[in-house]
Amino acid sequence: MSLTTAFNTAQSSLLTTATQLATSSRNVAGAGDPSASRKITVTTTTADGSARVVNITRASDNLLYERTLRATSASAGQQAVLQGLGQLQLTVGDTTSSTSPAAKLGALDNALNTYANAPDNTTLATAVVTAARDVAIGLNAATMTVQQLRGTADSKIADAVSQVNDLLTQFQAQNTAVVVGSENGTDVTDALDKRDAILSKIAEKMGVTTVTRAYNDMVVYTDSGATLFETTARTVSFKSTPVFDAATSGNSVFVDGVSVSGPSAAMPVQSGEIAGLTTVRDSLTVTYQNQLDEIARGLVATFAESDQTASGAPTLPGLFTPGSASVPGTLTPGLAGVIAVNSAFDPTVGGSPALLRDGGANGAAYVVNTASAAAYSAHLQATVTTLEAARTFDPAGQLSSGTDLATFAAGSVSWLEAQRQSASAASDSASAVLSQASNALSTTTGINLDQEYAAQLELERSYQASSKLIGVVGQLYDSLFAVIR
Amino acid sequence: MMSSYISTLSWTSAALNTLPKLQSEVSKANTEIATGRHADVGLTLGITTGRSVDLHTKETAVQSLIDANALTTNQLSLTQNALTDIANTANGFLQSLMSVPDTSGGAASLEAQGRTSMNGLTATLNTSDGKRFIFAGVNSAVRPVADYSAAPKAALNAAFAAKFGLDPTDPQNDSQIANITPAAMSSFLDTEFANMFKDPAWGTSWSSASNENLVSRISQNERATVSTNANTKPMRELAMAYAMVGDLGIGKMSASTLQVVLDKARTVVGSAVSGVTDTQAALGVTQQRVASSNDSMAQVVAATQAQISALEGVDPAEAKTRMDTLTTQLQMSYATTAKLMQLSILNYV
Amino acid sequence: MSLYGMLRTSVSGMNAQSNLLSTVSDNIANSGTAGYKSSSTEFSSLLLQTDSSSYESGSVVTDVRHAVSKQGNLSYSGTSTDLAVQGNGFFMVQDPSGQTLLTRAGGFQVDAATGNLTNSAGLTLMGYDIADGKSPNVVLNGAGGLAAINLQNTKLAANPSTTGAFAANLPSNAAVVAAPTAGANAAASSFSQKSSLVAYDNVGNQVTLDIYMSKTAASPATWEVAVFDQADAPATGNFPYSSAALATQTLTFDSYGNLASGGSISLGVPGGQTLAIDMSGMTQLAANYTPLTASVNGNAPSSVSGVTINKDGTVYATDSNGRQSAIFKIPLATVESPDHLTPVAGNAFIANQESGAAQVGFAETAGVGSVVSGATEQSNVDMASELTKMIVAQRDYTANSKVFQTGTELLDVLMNLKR
Repeated sequence: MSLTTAFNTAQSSLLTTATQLATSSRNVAGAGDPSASRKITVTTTTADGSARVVNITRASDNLLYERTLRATSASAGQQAVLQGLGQLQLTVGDTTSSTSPAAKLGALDNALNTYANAPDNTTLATAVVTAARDVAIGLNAATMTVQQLRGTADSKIADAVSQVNDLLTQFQAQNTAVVVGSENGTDVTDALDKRDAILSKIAEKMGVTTVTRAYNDMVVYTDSGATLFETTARTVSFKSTPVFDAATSGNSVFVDGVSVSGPSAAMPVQSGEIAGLTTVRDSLTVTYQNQLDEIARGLVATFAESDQTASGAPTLPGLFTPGSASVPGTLTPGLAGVIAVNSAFDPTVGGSPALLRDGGANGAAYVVNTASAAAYSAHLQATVTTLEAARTFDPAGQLSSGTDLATFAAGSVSWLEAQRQSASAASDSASAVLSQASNALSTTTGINLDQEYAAQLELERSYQASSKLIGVVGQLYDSLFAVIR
Repeated sequence: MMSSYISTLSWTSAALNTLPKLQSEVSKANTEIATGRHADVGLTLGITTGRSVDLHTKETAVQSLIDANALTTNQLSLTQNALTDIANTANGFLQSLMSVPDTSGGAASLEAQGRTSMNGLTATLNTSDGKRFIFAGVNSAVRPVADYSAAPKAALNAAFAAKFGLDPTDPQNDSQIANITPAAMSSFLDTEFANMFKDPAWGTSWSSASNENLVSRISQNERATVSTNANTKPMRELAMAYAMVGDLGIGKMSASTLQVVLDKARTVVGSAVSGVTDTQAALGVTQQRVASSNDSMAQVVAATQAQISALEGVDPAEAKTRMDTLTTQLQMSYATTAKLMQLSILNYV
Repeated sequence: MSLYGMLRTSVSGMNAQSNLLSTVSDNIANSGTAGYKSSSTEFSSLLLQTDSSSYESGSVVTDVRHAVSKQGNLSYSGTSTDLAVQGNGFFMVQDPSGQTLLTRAGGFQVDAATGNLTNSAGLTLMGYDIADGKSPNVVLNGAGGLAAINLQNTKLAANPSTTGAFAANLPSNAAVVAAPTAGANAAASSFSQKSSLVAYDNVGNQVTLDIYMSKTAASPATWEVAVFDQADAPATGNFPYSSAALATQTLTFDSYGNLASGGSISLGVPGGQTLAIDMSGMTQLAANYTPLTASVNGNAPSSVSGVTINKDGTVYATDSNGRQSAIFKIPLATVESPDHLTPVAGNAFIANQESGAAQVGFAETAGVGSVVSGATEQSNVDMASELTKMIVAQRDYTANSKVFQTGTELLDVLMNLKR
């Protein structure tokens, strides 16, 4: 070991220490950023014994990161479902409130029963018509809420898709930076951090899986396997539907030409906001709308008037009109949106509520109370019986058939709340998993300020020692020079 | 060295992250203490929410039946009062029929009593509770019995005059009445006169009421007839008896003929009084049923409310305990966060 | 036995010391010169004939040596074209006259005028052109086949894709797809899974290949893989493409889900080369569709964004997409006896009879050493020992001059005898 070597070693130590300090200060700056990982300076001893910075790496844990990605997708998906159900729940309200179709149906039943007890009381007849109008308006409003929710979900999907495209473009930039840097051996840790952050944002929108190739080149697939990014960003496309009604079905999201959402999806994504919104748009709202439509169909059928003269005239809508001339016999999408109270019954537009007692809204052949008795209750009581009788419902409503209308409506509330309960539980557990996973990731790859500061103190000592060494070597030379006169 | 590593972010945010959750739990517990119900009933009950909605609807339905029964009870007692009235008048009339000797002076007073009783009967049968005529059956909007002095009396006069050749304008005061034989009178009373109180003559000249009575739902699965009407047999009989005594000019009749009329009147009124009592008894049974179904429905309401509260209710003591625990946790969380934030190596170097 | 002899001897001593001082001064002057190898001076005595009664002083012969084989410390700079050799090899450089020299001075820079890599002495680094996959044309004991390493005129040719790999787990519980499958390219074609890969044609255009996988039979598990050019895809829907499938392949799996046949697919990239995609990693297990490997070689033409030089002396050009391609291979020369090389100006050496002829080899092979990019070899001069040598030389010179002075004085005494 010559003095020159000592000098050289001390000098390289200074350089290395400076690089380490710079890395540490980068760590301190990134301590508050959840996406920043801890940077580590990798040093090595060269052949002559001096220290040299080889490169800068970062603390990472691929398994934890992938778990966080999955948890992010799952949480975002459940969140979207829960929000959608929360919107649907507005059509039901609290059990004590009279908002739900079930409660309104109960009110109609009560009004009808009260009227049947005093058929000569016009006020009670008007009360029945008012209750009926409440039911119809309630069903109309619920349908509107449901369809607006579908529209909102659809436009949210469109937003999410354009964000994914945007994020994929950003991802491409960072991925190129990572690949170029990795091949050239430069510091790519910041680009890696940024790329991870972008990937997390994509995972919020749709579940992803990744494959890492040589030079940290990342290939991104949806969790169903459709290619999102491979060398270049693939196109994610979606055509949004501006207005929804019960007969509309929304479009699919296409990733790289493959449909990944919706009922006909070839490779449906499992998690993420887009998957959650698609569940809301294509499954939950549609089932709920079917239930509303079946309630509406039950009402139209219950109050339908049948021919009393045996002349073979068809059964026609009575108190409730379905927007068409005939009584629908099967599930009619959107019926709940158009159901209305027949103006022939409505006193506010010149109708006669007493038609409820007498029948005959569709002409003389349909009159039941032929004697025009003021307290004629048989027809009303028959209507009550029909209203409270078991009916057959379409299985598309996912509720048990062969129950009465009130039970069906209550079943609809049950169905909705059960969905909400399970979605809430799933969302809670997904966000718990997410917080646990991101905490674990942060614990492993995050930055500890105290440790950084302690490391800086250590580096300071090292720097001082190296400087001292240079001073000593200098003095040695000085004494050598002093010999030469 | 790295085995126990933790990043600054996760060590300071661990306590912070729990705060929003704790706070929302506190607000939930607060609502539950205040209302005694779950903060979000639907979310807590899930699939059983429909049951709760069902119970609420049932409670309202039963409550509205109880309310409706109050009206029914009111109408029933009104009918009972009217029937008592009718029965009283009939009984008084029967007594007079029994006690009055077969003299013309007595006959005159009976005649007057017959007419008064007839007026009383029609007035009572036309009783209305302000909304409907209670003796009109289902045809409750129409006055059940016509004013006696109008169509019914004209029909009676016409039949009476035609049978016995009397002055059609005022047959009651025709002196020819004295010539009517008991046999002729008996025949008249059993055929022409009796026919006037049978359908269709009764319907055209006397009554607009419907034979069909009001039927009401008095509990969730019970229906009952809650009215009687002016067409029932006792009512017709009473009208017949009153008309017989009041408007056949009994004051001018021969004693033997008068006897036929009075005998007939006694039989008819006697039958009518017992008929009215039967009707009263039947309505009394209905009143009883209404009362007992009200009692049982009150129990149903109480039971339903108990079920609702079992489904939706929260034990306030439990909620309060939870609230206290949460508050303590929250305070500890605040304290811990503050403590953690103060801890830094910078304070020690 | 003569005063003159003594004068001559002292003069030769002074000459010898001044030689030594010359090497010292050279060493000190070049202590900061990269690749400089220190020179040292050894002496030997030259005795005249003497007998037992008289001594005829001789003289000192100087022998200058060069510590060429002594490794200098590496000084790291971060510039990728700064090169150092860790080991025995020498860079082969060419001076402007065209003569091939050896050097350890690796501070190369791109010469603005020519684009060649030249060091501070103006010597051009030589290497073998291996661009486009050419193999180096090595003449083992000479400079034949060497070319100047030129980074300026490096145009990255587009590399068409020729090989690739694609592997995924295909779900074993997938339903058998009803005919027509994707390979039939009919409007009603259906498929189980789809993926895509970017390949490059001859001129470097990106060609996105759509890969459709359709399960055609459950037992034995058979899948059809059909590859299409995405540019032919219809505007809506997946099928039909405007031209037929580029290639189809049938994969069969054994009962354990391992690939039994159909481990690769070969297709002509439209406008490009035949691309062989290795699919031997395919499995069919009871798990979701999961892509495992996806890679294709080749690259689009792109400007050089950087140059990296490997430990084995391969010069890579990196394009803006991060793809590297080898363009030159830097050889290292070794000689039998490096210390006997003839130094020439510019820290270079010429092989001679004593050193032995230069043998051309490559870094990372036995006895040659490795190329370190981003560092230069410092001079191997040790300042302290040079200074001490200088002090000793000064003293020796003074002593010789004293001998000379004494001799002259004695001659003066002799001259003064005759007066």
